[in-house]
Amino acid sequence: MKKLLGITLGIMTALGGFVDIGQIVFTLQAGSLFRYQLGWAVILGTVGIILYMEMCGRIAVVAGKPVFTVVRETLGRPLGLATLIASNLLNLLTCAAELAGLGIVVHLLTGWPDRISVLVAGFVLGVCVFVLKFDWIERVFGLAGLVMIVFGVSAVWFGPDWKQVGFGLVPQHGHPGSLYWYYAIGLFSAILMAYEVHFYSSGAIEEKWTTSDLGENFAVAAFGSALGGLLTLALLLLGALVFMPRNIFPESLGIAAVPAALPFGRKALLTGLLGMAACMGGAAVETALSAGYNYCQFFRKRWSKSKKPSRERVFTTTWVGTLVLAAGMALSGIPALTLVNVSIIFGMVVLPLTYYPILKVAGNKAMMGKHANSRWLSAVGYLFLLLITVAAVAAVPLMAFTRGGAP
Amino acid sequence: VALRKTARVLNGHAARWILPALLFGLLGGSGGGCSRMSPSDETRSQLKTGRSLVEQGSLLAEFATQGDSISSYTRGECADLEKQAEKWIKETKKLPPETRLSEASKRIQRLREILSDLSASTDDLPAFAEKAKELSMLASEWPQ
Repeated sequence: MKKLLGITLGIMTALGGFVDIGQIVFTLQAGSLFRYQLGWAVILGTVGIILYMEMCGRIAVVAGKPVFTVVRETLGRPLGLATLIASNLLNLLTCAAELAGLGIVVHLLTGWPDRISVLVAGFVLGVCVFVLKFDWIERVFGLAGLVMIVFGVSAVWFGPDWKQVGFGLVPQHGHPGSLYWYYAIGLFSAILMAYEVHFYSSGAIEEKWTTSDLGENFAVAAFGSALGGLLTLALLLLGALVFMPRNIFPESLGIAAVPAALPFGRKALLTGLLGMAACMGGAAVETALSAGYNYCQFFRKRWSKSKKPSRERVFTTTWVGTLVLAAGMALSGIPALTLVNVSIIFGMVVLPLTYYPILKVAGNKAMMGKHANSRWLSAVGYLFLLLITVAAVAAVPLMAFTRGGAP
Repeated sequence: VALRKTARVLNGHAARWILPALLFGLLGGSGGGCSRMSPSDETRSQLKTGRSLVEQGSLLAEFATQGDSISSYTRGECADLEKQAEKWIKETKKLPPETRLSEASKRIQRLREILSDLSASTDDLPAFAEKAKELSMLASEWPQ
């Protein structure tokens, strides 16, 4: 019974923590431009994250190695170091985007000036992370993010044409436009963001999972991400149902809450905004902590969020430094959505360098024993790695040709 | 067998080909960044963006009319839309003059005035209803 409760809590936490600012913005925009036609990109990204999240959790449990230990051992020091620098720059950028977004929501809820809102949000997050232990950080933000379900309820309330939604889950012919592919890659990348696996694998070690927890690892990765994928799909539907008929291309974070509020009024507006705040707060915390995990794992320093900060000085300094720098970027006035665009597209570029080492180690029988990938799982993993690499190569040119996805 | 061979090749060379491929992508991207949109494409894109701004104003006003909004939310969103409208006007000035653009500019200017009025009186629901109607009309007559 206790195990079942643990698994349910894990799935709910994974669902609540699945969505971040990038997913909210990109998915609503994609729906407003292409109706349901990019549903397949959401499904593809969700299958990809299930696959790699489960693998990195399994590696952490069986081999006791978190992602950046695996990166260092597989890619070697020079390429591994390049991956570390790129990943942590990306974590910084994503953290700044999440903090800027959180600042906007606090501003909309309270009416406080923009910069004060960012400062307050950053300070409260910093204190929460400093005071809470790992499992509580995960639970507080993950479970608070569950209120995002209001977007799912709203999407069903609007009554989409389910047959058309079904067609969108399969790629259709006749969409050669660069804008279409830019959004396909953006959605794919937003779901597969590397910080999710950095955080998840470090979390498995923080929570001292053993091989008896492999079932929980599978359930959390599979069901938590699948439900998160459904929530992302709901955002796509709302973009198509609310914004597309009105010729609106949502370019501000605040307008993203309207689809949840239209059918149910003030309480739903408040719930939607709070859900968005929880998701962005959770993602800001995950990216800041991931920066600390990555650095310490690569350079073999001590790391743990469950022990006293004074004992883990390098780790604490790295995540606090990342949070402070990110707050500085968010305060500098760079628009949140510009930060989102850049972090998602460059996130795609870094993905193959994180996911390839995971795939290689997960298939290594000498290291993983009977828990190594089966042949078909390796084959599916390589297929996804190929897709990720093609998307990574195409991401930056597409960003330039479409001028950052301008319609 | 083919899959196993492919996997072996990928295992041996992935680290070596992934980085050059990514660098190629990045360089291609920076090259692509040098290409600019033609003035007619720029105009089309600006017209779309302008219409989207007016429609967002109309949606916000319509929502607030129902009395379901939160005043800090309405004020914040109006201010943000005003900023976007200002940016739109600045960018449009750089484009070659055209009748449909100047028509659109007049409407965006009106949008700014309406937004400024609305953020000053977020509890005046009848005013919101009136402005929502006007914005909806501005959007429906948007120059193509």
